[in-house]
Amino acid sequence: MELHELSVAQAAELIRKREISPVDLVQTLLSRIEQLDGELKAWETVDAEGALTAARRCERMVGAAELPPLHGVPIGVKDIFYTAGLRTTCGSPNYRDFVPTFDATSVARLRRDGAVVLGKTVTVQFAHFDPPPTRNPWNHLRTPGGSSSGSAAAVAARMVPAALGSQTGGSVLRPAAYCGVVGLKPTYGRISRYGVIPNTWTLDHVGTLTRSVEDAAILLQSMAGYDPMDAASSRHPTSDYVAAARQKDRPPRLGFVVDEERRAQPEIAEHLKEMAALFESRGAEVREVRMPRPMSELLAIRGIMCEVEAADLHAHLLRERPEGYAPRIRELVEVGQLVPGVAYIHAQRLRRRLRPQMERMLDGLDCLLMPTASDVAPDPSTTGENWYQGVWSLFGFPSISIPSGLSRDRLPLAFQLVSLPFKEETLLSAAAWAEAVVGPMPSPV
Amino acid sequence: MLLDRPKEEIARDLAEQAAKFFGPERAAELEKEIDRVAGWLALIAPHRLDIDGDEPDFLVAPHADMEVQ
Repeated sequence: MELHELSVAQAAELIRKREISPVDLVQTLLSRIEQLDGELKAWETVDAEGALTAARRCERMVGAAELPPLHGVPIGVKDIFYTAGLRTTCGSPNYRDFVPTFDATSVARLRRDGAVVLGKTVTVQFAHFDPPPTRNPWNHLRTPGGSSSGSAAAVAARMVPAALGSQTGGSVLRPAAYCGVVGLKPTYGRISRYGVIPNTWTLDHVGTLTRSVEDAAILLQSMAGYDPMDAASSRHPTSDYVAAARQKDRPPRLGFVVDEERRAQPEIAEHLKEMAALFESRGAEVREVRMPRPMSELLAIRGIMCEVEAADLHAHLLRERPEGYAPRIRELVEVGQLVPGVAYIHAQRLRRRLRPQMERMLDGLDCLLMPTASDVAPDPSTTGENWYQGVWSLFGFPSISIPSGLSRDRLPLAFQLVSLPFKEETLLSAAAWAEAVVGPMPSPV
Repeated sequence: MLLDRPKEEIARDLAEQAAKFFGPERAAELEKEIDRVAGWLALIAPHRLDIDGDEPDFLVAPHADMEVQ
């Protein structure tokens, strides 16, 4: 297997066994970026010098008694995460020259475990929805999705085995689905957001983009756990996520969510039915479940929260430096300032009251099964819609998108699994089982 | 602004405010976003929530098993 095709797990193991050099791996990926990124535009900043220095340091340590789990493994970091000494632009001219002095907690934990930061991947401006310059590796006339656009495209195009993303609506899972990679958004509070430029406070999550469920588990294992620097960080104990992802032999109990508002395009709806039938034929228990409220209502709650929190975050900077704002986030911030406080509080109370009903959907089940996105990747005038992803950002349930084939137009198809809060081990085990049933996704380039 | 009203009335109020704060020209440009937000407000406002005690920590930690730091 060529170096650029290696997964996180494979690269870590081969480095540990001295079968590959971390320096060779970084150099191979830098060459691939050089070769592909002129067209794809997945990277905002490539830190060749920093990555090679870190890789050389890793190489010197190989042979030591015990190496950390990600020793020498290159990663990409969405350009809203603080990276010490490496600029963090948030996709905005207002942050063009901003160089943080410390790492986001998530980045610091990955580095602690041996990861090598290859560079910063393109984000939609401030992680909202103005279209990015990044192209979809499967078809350059389609969007890679957003807002973790560069992370998804870079992982799909084998420029890096894994990358960090963030999700407020659908910004990890949707680009994962459009680009044919695995996108994991853990439970709200599971991974610290300290050092990640906020989009909102009560909806933001850190997530991962990888080419396998096992790799998502490895990254989660590194980053999960309490951080006193993030007010929403949870003290809930972590689990052995990697072991869960390697347990692929137990068919899960799945709740196939009835699409009552019929948002999914016919090809997507048909594909999900095929997936449900396939899983059932391989031993999974599949039964239909219904959302307790229409999805449109749930997304309205999320929409109000996002609009108001983002408006408060950006109002001053927008007034001072409007030229640094793209059109759609500017509209959102302006209109968000007009929403009455009573509506925001009402939305928060509704979320609180509805959460137990959402949990009851999973009674007797391991996971919910539903589309990740309502359609395959659309044209690049949009980053797509968050119809099936946003609700899990609202309620903070962990969710994962698994690639599951190609459409008639040879664009990636995907499905989404969702489990109860802090049940990532259940989610990852079911996802690994489903991934094995569906089979590997080919490379777009 | 009263919220438990048809979307069109909410949108009209938002548009008036937008014109006041950002000028009529910009308010016209914001029409699509105003319409989107008015739609959300009209969807959530009719849900009556009984007063049955406090709403613990929902602004900091929206999930029941989340600790408030």
